[in-house]
Amino acid sequence: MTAISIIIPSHNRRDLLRSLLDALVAQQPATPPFEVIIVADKCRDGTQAMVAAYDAPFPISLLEQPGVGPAHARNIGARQASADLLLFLDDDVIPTPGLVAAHAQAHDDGVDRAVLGPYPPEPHISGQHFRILTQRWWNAHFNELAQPGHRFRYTDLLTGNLSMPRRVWDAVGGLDPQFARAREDLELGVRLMKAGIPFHYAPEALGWHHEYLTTSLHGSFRRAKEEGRSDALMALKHPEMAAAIKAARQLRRKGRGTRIKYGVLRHSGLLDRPLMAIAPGLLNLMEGIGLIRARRRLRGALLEYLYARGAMEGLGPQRADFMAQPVPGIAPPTPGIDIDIADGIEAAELALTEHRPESARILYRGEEIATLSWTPMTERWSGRHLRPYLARRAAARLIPVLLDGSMQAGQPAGQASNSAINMLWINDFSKQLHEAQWQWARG
Amino acid sequence: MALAVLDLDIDRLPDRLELTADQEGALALLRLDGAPCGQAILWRDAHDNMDPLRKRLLRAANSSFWERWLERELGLSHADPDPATLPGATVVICTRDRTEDLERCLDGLLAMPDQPDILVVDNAPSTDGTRALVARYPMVRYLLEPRPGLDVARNTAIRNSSSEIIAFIDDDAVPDRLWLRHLLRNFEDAMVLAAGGLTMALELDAPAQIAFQRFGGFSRGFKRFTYDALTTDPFDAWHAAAGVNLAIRRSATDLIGLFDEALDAGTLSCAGGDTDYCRRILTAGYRIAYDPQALNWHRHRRSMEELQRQVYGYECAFFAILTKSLLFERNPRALLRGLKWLRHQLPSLARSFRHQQHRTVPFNIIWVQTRGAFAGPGRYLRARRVAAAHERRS
Repeated sequence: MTAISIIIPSHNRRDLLRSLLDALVAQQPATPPFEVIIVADKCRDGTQAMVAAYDAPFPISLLEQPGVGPAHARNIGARQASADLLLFLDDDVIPTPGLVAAHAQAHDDGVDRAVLGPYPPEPHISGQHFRILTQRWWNAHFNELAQPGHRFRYTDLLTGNLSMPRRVWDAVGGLDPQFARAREDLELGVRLMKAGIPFHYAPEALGWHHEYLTTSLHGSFRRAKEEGRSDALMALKHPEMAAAIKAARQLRRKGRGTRIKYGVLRHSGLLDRPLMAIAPGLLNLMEGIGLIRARRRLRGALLEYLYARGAMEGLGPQRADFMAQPVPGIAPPTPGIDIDIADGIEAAELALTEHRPESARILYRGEEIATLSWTPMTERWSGRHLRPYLARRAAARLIPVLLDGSMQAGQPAGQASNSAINMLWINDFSKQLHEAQWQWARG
Repeated sequence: MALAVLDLDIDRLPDRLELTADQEGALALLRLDGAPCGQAILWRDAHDNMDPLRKRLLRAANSSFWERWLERELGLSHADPDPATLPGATVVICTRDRTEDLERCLDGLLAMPDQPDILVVDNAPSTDGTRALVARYPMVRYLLEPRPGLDVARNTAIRNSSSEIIAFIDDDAVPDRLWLRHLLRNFEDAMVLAAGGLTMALELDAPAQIAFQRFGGFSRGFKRFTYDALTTDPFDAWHAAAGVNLAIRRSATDLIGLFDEALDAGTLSCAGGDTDYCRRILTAGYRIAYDPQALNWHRHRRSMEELQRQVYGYECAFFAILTKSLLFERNPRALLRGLKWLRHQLPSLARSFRHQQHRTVPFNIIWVQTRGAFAGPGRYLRARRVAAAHERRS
């Protein structure tokens, strides 16, 4: 019996797809039986012939589509699936031998959950800043998920290495094809969060992302525009989370500056293509001669511009209505609870795990130490979030409590110096050098 | 003036700070459960002189101490590396006529729980003292490299070792017990080609040593960090590591080559072989890990003349590297970097002549730096000719 259906949408990446299939053939022994469903979306590079000729010890289905985009392609693949567990892989993610088994194991207990597997960049050497930046983004993303106290958000959900029971997929309705080119994954994350489906990170379900073959500086500009468009659509579809979406915040900012900016942006569409065409060359030139800061600023400005243009296009005729609405305040839908850590931090953790509040105040003998605040489309607070959060965000008030169980007004950090408190968790070389120099100068 | 150098575990402190008559204060390394995690500087005449030592240290402790302390108190501590999973290493000491220091270094290495392959490269010695010393340590390998130049010696060491990792330590440094183990754990990331550790002052008995430590010395902070070409301009690669406490992956020599034999001590370029190597690592797109738990102790130069030479040498080497990059790698960024240096240096130079009374050392640092910088390009070109002449001979 097939236990897992692996769904892979692909668009003209025959060779990578072949490597992916090779990696699936090489899954470790005792991997539950699986089938592979490849949705070849407007492939013109012989993908179909390669798949048809591929000799695999598992069933492979090939579905052809005329260019519907990855979101719809995944929906079509899922409809075809015969197993109760769906595993989505991108065509540039090459699984390690334990990937499929790790996904299966994470669903072993039958509880509904979305399982996120890591797919960090395949180590690839390039001195190009774009490449280094991209690698760093991916690594930081998965490092974050790996933290024991990580609080899952809708933005954690990516579809490159994701599994969930078929009934969950059907209940939330799969991906929304109107987010054809960007954010289709995050939008699914929003609906999973709304439905209360827990996210789970499975580090063993590792795949290597061959992003260096499939992303480029050039493409990043196109993507910025698509992200703007999708973010605007997201704000329309889920108005309650508009405050968390950059496009919505920017568009609803009041004042003449905003009106002029978007007045101009409405009519500057002809500029988009030429800008996208010359930007990579210009930025590479600046990088070559060492104008690093100027390059960073220019790239930031271009991305910002294209994002805003995308958002305008995404809203279309609804733009005026949308911009006129007020920015919704970020307020928790339910009142939070108070937890006093004077009874011990373990007791506080238990209380959080029991109540799973959307927000909470952490007190010590009635004095507030930290606020665990509400954020839209984020997992509710739980015991495991508490200690890492306090260490990072409430150090100054926590130190005196942990040192001698005291809190004094006016001296929040107790015996620690303010300059040390201000430098907590800052890794910058020059700032650390200044800290040492401050130590020398003192006294 | 002198300062005491202390190595203190915050849970096992003496009651008071004991200073000798000539010591004005103390630089204390702070440990938690044995792991180095921060530092504190205490002065004899400070207003909190009568408080218990623990209280004084907590008040003077830096942010990295509190980070580790918070993590410990909250039960978020990290596990120590498991030696069984670490790559094999050769520890290399390049030395010249410094048997007293070398002996201390070797004793420190042999006191580590990990027993790596140890190789001493005797670089153009004037006596056979080093050979005689090493002969007393049967487990330590000895190699003679008659051609002067620290980078020449480093390359000889690389050619004569087969371990996956080559860890360099200066002859005037002493490793902490778990130095190597912590240095080696950073190579788990395949993109990391080099790892550097924290270097503390072994002694602060002379004003020149205190001045060096005060300027920054080998300070790189107490926080673990991974550098790449975006976090750090490759010309500032010394932020990540220095030769006194540096391990490289052996495959780095295939990927980016050997050390530049026209650079560093023993050549006209004075210094910079390590910085140049780290620069090339970052430029190529690889990473350098910095791990403060990989701690060693360095005896800084004791005389002001030596300190002055060092200041001169560092700046000379920086311009040697800029020259190399501009002329031989055709890298236009070097030009921009030189101009940037000028823009900062010229105002500082003017200030340094106007406010001579504020000097903490008997020479004008900025002026010495400037002279070093201007000598850099010429010295590098001559050093390069010397290295090339040797290449032709051999």
